[in-house]
Amino acid sequence: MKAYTKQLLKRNATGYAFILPLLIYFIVFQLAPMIIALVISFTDYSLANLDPSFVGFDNYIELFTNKAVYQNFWSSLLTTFLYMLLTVPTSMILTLIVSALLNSKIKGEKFFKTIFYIPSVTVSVAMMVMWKQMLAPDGLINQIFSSNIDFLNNESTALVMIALMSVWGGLGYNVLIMLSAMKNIDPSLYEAAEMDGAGAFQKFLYVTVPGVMPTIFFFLVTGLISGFQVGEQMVIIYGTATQVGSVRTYVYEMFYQMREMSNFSVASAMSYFLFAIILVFTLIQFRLQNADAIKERRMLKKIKREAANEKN
Amino acid sequence: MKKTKFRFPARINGATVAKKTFIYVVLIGLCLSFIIPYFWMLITSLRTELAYNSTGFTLLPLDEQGHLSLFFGNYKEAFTALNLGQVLLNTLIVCVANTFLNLFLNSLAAYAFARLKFFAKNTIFKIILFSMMVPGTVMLVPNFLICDYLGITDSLFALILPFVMSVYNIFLLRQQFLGVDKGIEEAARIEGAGPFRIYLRIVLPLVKPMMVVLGITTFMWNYGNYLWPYIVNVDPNLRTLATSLAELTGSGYDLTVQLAGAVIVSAPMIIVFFILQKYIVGGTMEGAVKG
Repeated sequence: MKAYTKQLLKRNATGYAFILPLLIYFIVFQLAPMIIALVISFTDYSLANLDPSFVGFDNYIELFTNKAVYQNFWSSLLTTFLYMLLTVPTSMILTLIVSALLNSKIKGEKFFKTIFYIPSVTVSVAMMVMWKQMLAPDGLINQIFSSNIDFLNNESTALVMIALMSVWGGLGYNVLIMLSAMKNIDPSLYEAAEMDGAGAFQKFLYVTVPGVMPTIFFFLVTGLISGFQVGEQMVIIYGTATQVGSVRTYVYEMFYQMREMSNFSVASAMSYFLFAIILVFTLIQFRLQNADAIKERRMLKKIKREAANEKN
Repeated sequence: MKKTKFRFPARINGATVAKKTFIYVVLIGLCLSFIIPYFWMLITSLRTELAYNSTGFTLLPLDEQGHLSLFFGNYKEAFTALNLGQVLLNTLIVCVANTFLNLFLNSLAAYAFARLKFFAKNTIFKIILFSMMVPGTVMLVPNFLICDYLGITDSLFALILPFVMSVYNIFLLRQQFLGVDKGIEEAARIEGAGPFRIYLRIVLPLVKPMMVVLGITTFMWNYGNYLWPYIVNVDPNLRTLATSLAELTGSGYDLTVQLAGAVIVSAPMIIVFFILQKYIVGGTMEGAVKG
C-alpha cells in the first residue's frame, strides 16, 4: 500500500514538473494581468493619479454616458462596425470567387496561391508603409491616374482604403483555407448537377457554396472577432493621436487612452468591454462547431444502428 | 516512376476556350495587383527622390534624365534611420529566444497532457485552453500592467516572457504526441528510460516536422509583432525592426527612404517564405483546421 502511494506521488510529481512552466506562465501572464486589469478598471488609476482609490463602476458609466470627456467612444464603436461591414462581406465574396476560379482545373494553381500569400508573410508595418506611400498624394495610385488625392487623410476615403488593404492582405490566407474546403466536396455531386444540365454558375451556386457553408461560417465569425480588434494598421499609419476621426476604431481609442492619456483605469475598462464582446462571438463559434460535431455523431450512430438492424 | 492516369482529350470548343481565357485573365490581373505594389516599392527604393518626382508613372529605375540607373543612397539613409545594427540584434535575440523557449516549454506541457498521468490533468488542460484563447488585443493593457508591476518594461524581457507559451502550439503538439505509437515508448520504459528521457530522445524527434512548422511560424510572428513592443518599450535602443520602421515612417523621411526601410524589414521574411513555403503553408492549414 505504501509503495503504491509512493508511486502515485512520483507519477504526479513528474506530470506537474512537465507542466510547471505552463502553470507559472498561466498565473503570471494570464490570470494575474486579467485580475489586475479588472481591479484597476474599478479605480481611478492613471499616470496623473498614481495613488488610486476605488470608484466602482464609474469608469464604465463615464465611458458609456459622458460624451464630453469620451466623445469618441460610441463613434469608435460605429467606426469598428463600419470597418467590419466594409471588409467581411467583400472578403468573403472575393475569397469564394477566387477559390472557385482556382478550383476549376487550371494550370498554375500553386503559383497563384503563392503570389496571393505574399502579404500574409509581409511584416505588417512594412506592408502599411508600402500602402501609405502608394496612396500618398505623390504615390503610385495618384501617378497612374495623374491625380492628387490625399486618400489617407481624407475623411471620406481613409477607412475605405484601410479596409481595402485588409481585404487585399488577407485574401491569400482565406483562399488557401477555402480552396481546401472546396476540394473536399464530393465530386459526384458535381457530376449529378452536370447530368441535370447545370452550368458553371449554377454548379457554383448549388453545389460549391452549400458545400463550403461551414467554412463560410468560420470566416464570418473569425472575421467579426478580428474586426473588433482592428486598430494596429491605424496606429502604424497615423500614430496614436490622429485628427482623421473616421479611422479611430475602438482599439485605436483604447490605445489612445493607454499611450497618449496614460489613463490606465479607463484603458482597462475598455479592454474588459472588448473582452465581453469577443467572448460572445467566441461562444457562438464554439456553438456552431459543436453543433456540427453533434450532428455528425448522430449521423454515425444512425448509420451504425441501421447497419445493425440489417444484420438482424 | 509516376503513372499518369489516361484521360480522354477534353472536347475543345469555343465556349471552353473562352471560359478558360476569362479565368486566366481574371487571375493574372489579380496577380498583378499583388506583384506591382512590391515591385514598385523595390524599384522606387532604388531611385532618388528627385528622379521619382520628375518622372511620371514608371516601373523602371530611371534617373531624372530618364536613363536607367540604380541608386543605393536611400538604403544608406534607412540603415542609419532604422539604427539597423542595434535593432537587428534586438529582433534576433527576441525571435530566437522566443522560438526556442516556445518549442521546448510548449512541447513539454503538450507531452504531459498527451501521455503522462497526473491529478486533474484534463481539468487543467481545459481551463488553460479556454482562458488562453483571450485575444492578444484584449491582453495588451493587462499585460502592460503586469510587466510594469514586475518592473520589466523597457527591457527585452518584456518582449519575450509574455509570449513564451502559446495555447495553439500546445494544442497542435498534443495532437501530434497522441498520434505517436505507444509501443515505442513502452519499449523505452522497459529499457529503464525515465519520462524526460523518453520525451526528449524518443518522442520529440518523431514530431520534428511539426516542430519545424511551429518554429517558423513562432519566429515570423515575433519578427513582425508591433503593438506590444510599441506599448511596452519606450527606449529607442530597445526597438525591434517593426517598431523602428514605424518610427521611421512617422518621422517625415522621403518616400524613397521609407520604402527602402520597408524593403529592408520585409525582405528577409518574404525570402524565407519562398524557401520554406511547404512548411509555412502547411502550418497555416493545421492552425486553421484545428485551432
